[in-house]
Amino acid sequence: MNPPSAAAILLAVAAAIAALVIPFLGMPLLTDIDFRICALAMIAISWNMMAGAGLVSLGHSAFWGLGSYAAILSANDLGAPFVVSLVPAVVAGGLLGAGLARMTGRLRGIYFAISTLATSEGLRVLATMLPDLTGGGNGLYLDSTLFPGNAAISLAIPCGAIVAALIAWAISRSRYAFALRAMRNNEAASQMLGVAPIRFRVGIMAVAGAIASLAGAINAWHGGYLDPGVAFDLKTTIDAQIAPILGGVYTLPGPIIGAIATIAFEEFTRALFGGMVGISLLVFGLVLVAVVLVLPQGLVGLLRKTRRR
Amino acid sequence: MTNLLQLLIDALLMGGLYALMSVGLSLGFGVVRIINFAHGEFVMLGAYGAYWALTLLHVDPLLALPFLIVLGYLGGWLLFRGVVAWVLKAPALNQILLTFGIALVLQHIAVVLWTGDVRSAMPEYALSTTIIGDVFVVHGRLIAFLVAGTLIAALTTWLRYSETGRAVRAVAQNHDAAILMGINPGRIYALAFAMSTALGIASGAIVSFLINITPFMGFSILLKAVAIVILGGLGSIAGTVISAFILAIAETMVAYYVPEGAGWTEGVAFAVIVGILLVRPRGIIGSALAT
Amino acid sequence: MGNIRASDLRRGAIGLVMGLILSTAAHAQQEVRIGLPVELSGRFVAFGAQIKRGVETAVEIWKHTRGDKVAGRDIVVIEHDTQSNNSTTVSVMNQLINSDKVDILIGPGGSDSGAAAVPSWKQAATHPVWIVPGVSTTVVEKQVGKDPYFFHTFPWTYQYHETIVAGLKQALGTGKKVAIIYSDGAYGRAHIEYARQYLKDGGFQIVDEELIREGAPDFLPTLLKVRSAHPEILYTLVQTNDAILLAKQIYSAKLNIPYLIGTFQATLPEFKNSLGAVQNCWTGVNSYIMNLHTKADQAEPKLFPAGDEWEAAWRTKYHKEPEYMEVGAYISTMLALLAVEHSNAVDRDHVATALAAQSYQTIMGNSRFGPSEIALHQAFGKVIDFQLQKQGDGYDNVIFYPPERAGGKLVACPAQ
Repeated sequence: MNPPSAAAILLAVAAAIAALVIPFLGMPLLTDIDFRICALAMIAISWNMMAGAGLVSLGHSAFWGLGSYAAILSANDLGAPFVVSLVPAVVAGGLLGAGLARMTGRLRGIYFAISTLATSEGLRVLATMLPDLTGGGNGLYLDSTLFPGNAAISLAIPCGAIVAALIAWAISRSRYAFALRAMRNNEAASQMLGVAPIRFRVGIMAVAGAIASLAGAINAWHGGYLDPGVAFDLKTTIDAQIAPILGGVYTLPGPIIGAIATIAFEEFTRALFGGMVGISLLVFGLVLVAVVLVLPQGLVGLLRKTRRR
Repeated sequence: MTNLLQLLIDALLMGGLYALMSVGLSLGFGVVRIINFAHGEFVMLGAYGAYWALTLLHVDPLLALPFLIVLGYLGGWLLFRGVVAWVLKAPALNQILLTFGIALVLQHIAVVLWTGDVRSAMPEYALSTTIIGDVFVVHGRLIAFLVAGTLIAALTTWLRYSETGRAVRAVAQNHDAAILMGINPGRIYALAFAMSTALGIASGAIVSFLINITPFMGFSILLKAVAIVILGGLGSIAGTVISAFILAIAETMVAYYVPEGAGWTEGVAFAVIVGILLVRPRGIIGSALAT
Repeated sequence: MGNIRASDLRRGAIGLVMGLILSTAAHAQQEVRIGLPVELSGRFVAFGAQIKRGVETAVEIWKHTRGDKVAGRDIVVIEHDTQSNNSTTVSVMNQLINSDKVDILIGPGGSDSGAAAVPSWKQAATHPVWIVPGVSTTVVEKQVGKDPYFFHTFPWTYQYHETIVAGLKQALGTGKKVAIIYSDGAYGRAHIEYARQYLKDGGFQIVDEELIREGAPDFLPTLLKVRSAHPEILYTLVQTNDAILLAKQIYSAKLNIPYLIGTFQATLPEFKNSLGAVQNCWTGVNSYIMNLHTKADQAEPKLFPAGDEWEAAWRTKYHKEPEYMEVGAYISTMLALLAVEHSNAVDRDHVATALAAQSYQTIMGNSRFGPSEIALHQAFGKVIDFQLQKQGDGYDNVIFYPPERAGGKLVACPAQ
């Protein structure tokens, strides 16, 4: 991987500062957009990390939902304040990722994808059928006496996104990156080269799971209400893959650019077809199909191509 | 005892429907080697097709069935040639995302066209019953079972005895050898994909009078079909049919014998998926580890 | 990425920021801003669409009779679709409260969206007056607590079951055997506790309780268990889609239970339209029923005309019967506009005080707000029991409880 250009670093730093400063400008609409972009960027980075190792996730709502429940339950039942409650969420997401990696050790491609889908739907059934723990369909409210204020939550999410981006960057600079790329291209060959796929697989999925869980946890504090449908929403899974695909899969800036583009696009279609139900997700689906067909490298690929000309 | 008999009959009738839903998915995968995440949406479109045929044209879902099958076949063929064929050699990631995107598009086309309101087709036979001894048989379910059985039998016969059917099986079993034998795989792929779509549409037409029709009904159907196909071994028609009955019976038994079982039934499919993939990734019959 | 010129980026960013500033600044006019967080798509679209139509009709009639303004302010209605999705509901509530800066919220209708909407409302620095013409789950009442800005114009869960059980007791006496079917969603889980409690207190014998999964395709195993318990009354706590499929499968399975009890489903057009003969003899509850021949309000006869007159006007306008949530949303909107007019202000304290002091004669009864079990303000908490009975070609809602409104008697379902 080429070292990033000075302009790219500058742009990344500027974006990070903007994300951190926006909540303090006193503009609620912009703060809300900032929040959604950062939350989406986190799950997109997490999804992209796994995809980079050849692991296509169709169950990112599993991590998101588990993190949400871990945070809210530890706050309500143990009185954990905001930041402390994020710890069990991160741990739970990491453990789920690692556990899933171990359990699906031999599976690849669609078999892996299907098992993640089943995991997330399975967790939803569990959350619905264990009302004593989760409140079941009645839902669960965050203990409002613990609410740290909107500012703290609005600040936490860009911090989370920046940490996630830094982790992704660190991985891309390490020896890990080569091993993961080898796994993506051919697991058997990478094994012969002396890479132990299962170790890398557990590692990458633990990190990715923890990031997605953290995003879910912060979002749960933001919403203040959880039920199995909110926590394990299929739309989370869809969003988690659309953003990196749109931005540019397997690249560092891809998920972030994709998150910005996705939210901008969402706002745009809402402004344009606000009254027309279903249009925005229909256009989303069309974009997904079109990008896979004609722009498999996403926006980042497009930028690189135009620059080369 | 009566209840057990009743349960088994209900499960058997349900199993026929499950089998038809899954056989299409299995055929598509066996030949084209792509799991079509939009298969549930084909079922949804078939159900709407039958519903509108009944409501607007006063055509019974069973009479509309042949037309819907033909439409489904043509639609599937166009979808394959126009879209799916482009990712045949692409990584699994692109194939998964492409069919996922198609599913999203079809769902929301339905939302835009027909709103999210729940519908259901109500032909005469949907709710009528026959009582034999202490056991009752809902005519709608019996008819669905018979139609599903007929279609699956026709498919199997065609695959076994016709020239093209054999070519399809040859491609499914050994792609390279089939080419050496002079079979044009592109044509066979399109054929199998179109057939798989038609089967999805057909299942939709017959569930139209059994369950609620909504734009989002496809997803849970897809999950169930995936569980069945994996249990049966990807690409194996016989395995798929057997495991459709296994899943239907397992769900019914869980619903009846486990406390709060009806709430856990959906979990049965996921437990099957995870269990099979972990313990015996080759399924009951087919092979699954090869990508 | 060096190919994007810095000047382009700067220009784009400045444009975006300016746009956002302008869009927030535009609010400072003399306006009453009414925000509708409603289900305009998804599972609960029927509720949201009803609220939207009720509010729009009220504003239209207000403008027609009183002029375009209220207390010298323009009336602005802002609708956002919650998509029947709880995460979207949170976003929508935040947007209405923080960005659109609405003065009064009306909606949503379904219990699910209502439950998800509470935290974003409570956490807002100064949350606006919130009028809810739907949402029965007590989860919401508990969470709202004694908040002075919350106004519920709909019954709570316990009020349904109090009335249903009282109606059954009057018609059938005590000691009957009851089986309950409830869904695993918010609706079923919230209702089961109260249903159980009122049935027991009413002297009924609960012989079976069955949970079903929302959206399940097959209820026959559950119905088989119900049959084995030999109940005389089947008490169902499920929402629209499940209620429809359940009613069909009960019919197919020939359960032959004399009394089929439902909650709100029997009033919904989806239920009636998709069931045909199967709807016969289902009972339900409602907060509003057609043809009660209520009188016009003395102070505001144009806004709250006599029941017959209002219903006729509705039929002329929309070519269909008014639905209960349309009526509730209409009345709620009128109450809000009147409160603004009387207090000549839009700040929440004035509006809330004015709302709490109102008393009008509406087609749903008197509009006076009073405390419910937990919350401070509720109006129209009373429900009526009715049964769908065949009348000519269609099925009519025949009220059988409370006695002062009854137009008929509860009858047993015919044996199949």
